[in-house]
Amino acid sequence: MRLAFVATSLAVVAAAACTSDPRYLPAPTAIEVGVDTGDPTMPPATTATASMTLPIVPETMADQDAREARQTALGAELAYVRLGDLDVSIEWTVKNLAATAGEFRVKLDGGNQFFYYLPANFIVDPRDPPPPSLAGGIPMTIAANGTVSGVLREDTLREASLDLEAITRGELSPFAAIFNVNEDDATVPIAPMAALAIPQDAVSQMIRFDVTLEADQHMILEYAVRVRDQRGILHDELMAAPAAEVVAFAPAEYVPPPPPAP
Amino acid sequence: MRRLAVVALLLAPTAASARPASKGVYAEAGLGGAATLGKAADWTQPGPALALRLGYDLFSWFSVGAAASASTHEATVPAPPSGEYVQLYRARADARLTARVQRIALYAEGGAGAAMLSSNVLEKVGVQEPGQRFALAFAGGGGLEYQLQNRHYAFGLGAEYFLAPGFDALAGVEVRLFLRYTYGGAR
Repeated sequence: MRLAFVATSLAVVAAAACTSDPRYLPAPTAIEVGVDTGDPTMPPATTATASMTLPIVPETMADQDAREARQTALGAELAYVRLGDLDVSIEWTVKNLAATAGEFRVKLDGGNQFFYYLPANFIVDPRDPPPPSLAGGIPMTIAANGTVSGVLREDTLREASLDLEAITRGELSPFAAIFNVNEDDATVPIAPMAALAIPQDAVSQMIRFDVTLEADQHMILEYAVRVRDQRGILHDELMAAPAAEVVAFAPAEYVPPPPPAP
Repeated sequence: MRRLAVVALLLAPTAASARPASKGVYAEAGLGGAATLGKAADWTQPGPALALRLGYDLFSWFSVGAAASASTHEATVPAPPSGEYVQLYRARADARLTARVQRIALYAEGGAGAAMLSSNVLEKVGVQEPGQRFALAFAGGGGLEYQLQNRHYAFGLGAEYFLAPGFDALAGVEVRLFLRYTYGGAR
């Protein structure tokens, strides 16, 4: 009886303390658009982007060995940071600084260890609509001097990682990758024509986040990145970490192959 | 009304007023609430708390022990983020003085240990330094116990004040109802 009492009490505390605790990374800067330039010939910018790369500690030898063994088994190059290592969400707040109601969009693009995605690179004919962003992009109205908050959830950003891998290494059309929900797919293509596919837990995790604000009035966007570190690879000091103690990821800008000649 | 009658019956003096209480190793588990004080009260809302204590009665009036508690609070820092929660974990070694009058015992306790915040959400308002999760913590308080007919068990109500200087002097109070089990012979 007494042992059960003590054991139950300890188990409750242990369960509460061992869940994966979130870490919050503040945005490097607020994003402001619609600022009056003071020059009638220069209209205010209606879009601006800020980029943030997660502070990840270098890969250990043991992790590298495990990754290389899995690469051999799958026959594909794998990223150091893979899906499931980090659960990421982004919380944002937009303030309308104008005395007029307006409309805005918050868009998320970004990259993994190998590539980063720029929707503009997929525009072949300027008359065509640009491809969608990896997440967000929903038009929202905001009252004069109002504030609107939102969140790009963990499942949304997980899907964005799947889409990014399919678009870049899998050479899938952004429209096909983003407008289809892939969260239940067993594998993700990482070679053209789906010649090679890897399981979801081997897919590259997004480690770079490019947040864009598009607005028709003077507005400011503040955001924070929330990370639940399932693998213990986030630097303890987060954005204050010394540069020498984090991985300097340098993903390449992804440029799709030219369309086949008609 | 019936509940009140039952409580009154339990509390009423009886022929067995001089209830024996065990002395020895004991464990306490409590539930209650915790709230921060001062400027930290702007950033954390009051929340539920769970407390545990293991101790040993060196004398009938003095015991030493280790206590741990966990409380969860909504973080009300300037958005973003908003609507997030943070857990405050505290653990300490402490000593307790007890004065017993029949079935009621009053106690005072105090100790020192460490506090841990589950996330860095309070970094934005300066409660934490970058990368800081732990800080030295002190706590002191008191309460009363009601000894049950079974000498091993007692209920109690306790309150304590805590201070974590390393978390920008984060301070607060915790109030809890607890159940105590003591393994040992009568005092």
